[in-house]
Amino acid sequence: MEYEIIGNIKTLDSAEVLKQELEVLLNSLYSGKEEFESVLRTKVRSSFADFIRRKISQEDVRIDLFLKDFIKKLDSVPVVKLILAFEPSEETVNRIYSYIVSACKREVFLDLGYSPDIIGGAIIIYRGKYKDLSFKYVFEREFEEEKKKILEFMKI
Amino acid sequence: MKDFQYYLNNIGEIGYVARSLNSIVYISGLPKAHPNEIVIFENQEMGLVLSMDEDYLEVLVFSNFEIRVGSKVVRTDENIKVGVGEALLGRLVDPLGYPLDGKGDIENLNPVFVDIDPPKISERKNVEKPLLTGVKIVDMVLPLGKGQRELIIGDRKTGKTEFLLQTVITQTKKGTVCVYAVIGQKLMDTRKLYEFFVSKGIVGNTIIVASNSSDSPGLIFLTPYTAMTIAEFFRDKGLDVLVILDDMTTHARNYREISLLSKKFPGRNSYPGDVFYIHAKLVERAGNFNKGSITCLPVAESVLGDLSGYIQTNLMSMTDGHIFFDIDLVSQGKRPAINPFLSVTRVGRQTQTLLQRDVGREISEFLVTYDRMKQFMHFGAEIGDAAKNILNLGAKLDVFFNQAEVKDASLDLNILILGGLWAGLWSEIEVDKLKMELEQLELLYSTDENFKKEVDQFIGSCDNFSDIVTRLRRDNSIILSRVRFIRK
Repeated sequence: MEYEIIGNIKTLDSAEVLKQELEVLLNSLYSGKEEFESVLRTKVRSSFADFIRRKISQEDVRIDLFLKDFIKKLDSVPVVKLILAFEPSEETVNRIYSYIVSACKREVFLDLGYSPDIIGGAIIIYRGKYKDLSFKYVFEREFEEEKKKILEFMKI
Repeated sequence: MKDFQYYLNNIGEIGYVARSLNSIVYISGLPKAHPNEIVIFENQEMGLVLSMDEDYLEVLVFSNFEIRVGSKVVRTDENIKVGVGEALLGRLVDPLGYPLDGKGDIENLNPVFVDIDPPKISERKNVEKPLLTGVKIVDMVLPLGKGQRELIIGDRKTGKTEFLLQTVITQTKKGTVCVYAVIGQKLMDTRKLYEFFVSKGIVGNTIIVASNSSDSPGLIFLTPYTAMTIAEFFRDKGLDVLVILDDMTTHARNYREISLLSKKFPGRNSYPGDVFYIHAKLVERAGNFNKGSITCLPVAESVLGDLSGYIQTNLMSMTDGHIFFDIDLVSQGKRPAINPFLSVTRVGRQTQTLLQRDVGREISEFLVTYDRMKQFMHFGAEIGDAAKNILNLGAKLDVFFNQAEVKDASLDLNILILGGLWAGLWSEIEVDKLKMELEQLELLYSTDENFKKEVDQFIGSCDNFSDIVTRLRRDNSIILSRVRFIRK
């Protein structure tokens, strides 16, 4: 897999960090080979630097085209935005990610938002579609529909 | 319109602003949006989908608020609508139908689509009824009909607005609803226009749809369409409506700005290729219909009297004639500075009576002769009595047509006065005195019921112009008995 590293990126934040590293590397290419090596050593995470070095060692790879394609590939991965009522732990993120990837049957990035005022549940945004599955929405709708009954009950 | 949250929950789609270029923003998301759909930003501002590609929607924003990149947007699944109803009469509104006159909300309005196709041929009728403007030279020489589209064209400060105001006054007094679209002009001018209507007591029959020069290009673009939509509401009630679009060259410039920002390919004078289409689609919505009529007077500004500009010629080709206000005539002191030789009316004459048509033909022929004679005089030639008579009558005709201020003028009285001029009733009178006598006759006609009846009967009993002239030569008391005291 040419871009197997993408499979290890779960969130949009991680993808953004990776994209920044790719852009720094791409820019350094135009300042000479030494500069590229220096950036690879000092400004890129070591695991990713190893991955890039492995790619460079392959003779048929043009590094500038590889970096540009990589950025394009990152941009093309769809983002699933999730707004949750709690801040998820790493384990929770992993579980959510595994579930979503198996449901979407493709690579995605998670964009996690934290908003306690939704009370519970989640708001999901994927490719322009918006689904409010939060408790806040459920309660509000319930209140709107049963307003009279609830107010009468509260009077008692 | 409902708010952002309503559409977010009900339509279930969301987009984000990816790029913002003044009044144009690019949005990612909203997979089922369609062209001309209204979108709402999270700050409750509205926008209109212009076009779409694989990744982005191109949206025209209706406000001047800066739309930040990353802002949320929802679609409404509705094309643009504006509230219409009788409650709009006497109000000054913006192109989205919100009041600008500080008189509170307008209630009982029904939202209708702003961008609709023009009515089909089966819904249309020939232009049959005359539309009096109250401007003598137009009513006599370049008559208009109800349902006609007539372009008003001229340089800045040539009296186009005065002509339009005169027409509005004349028509509102006859029960016509007037919708005045002020397109991208100064706020102060809009205010003055509104106050003018109030001062003349005609505001109850008028509606002003105004956008000012500092409004967003999207809002300015919408102005004439909203005015036409409001006009259609009153037309559907069987009323005659007059729509003034002041002015369409500003509208075209505004559309050019939008098109260039959205990277549409520029054509002649950098205008986009569809500038003809957007104007023609609007102007075609006017006309005479089975039920009611919409008379449309689009205004175009020319530069240094040049009639061959791109937008100007476009508008000429989609209207039923044009009235040209000549800057040279303004400098000669003529008010209104209408050039009858370069003006055209294509359907107005068919609404006239045989007598009116005869009078119009006679005056047109005379004006040509008079103009030739004046040019001939430039050579300093010695002239005979016949030429002197023509020049003398021409000078008097100039006085007759001169209408510096806005006031009422009746067609029958005008024909009578013209008959009097042709019969030589004023041939020996000085120009200043003639002016006074004409004013006296106009005053009498509007105040003395007997005189009005007498004039109307006299004109009604004549078949053609020469009949009027012959009868006045025989007996001129109908005129001279009323002005004799001035002569003494």
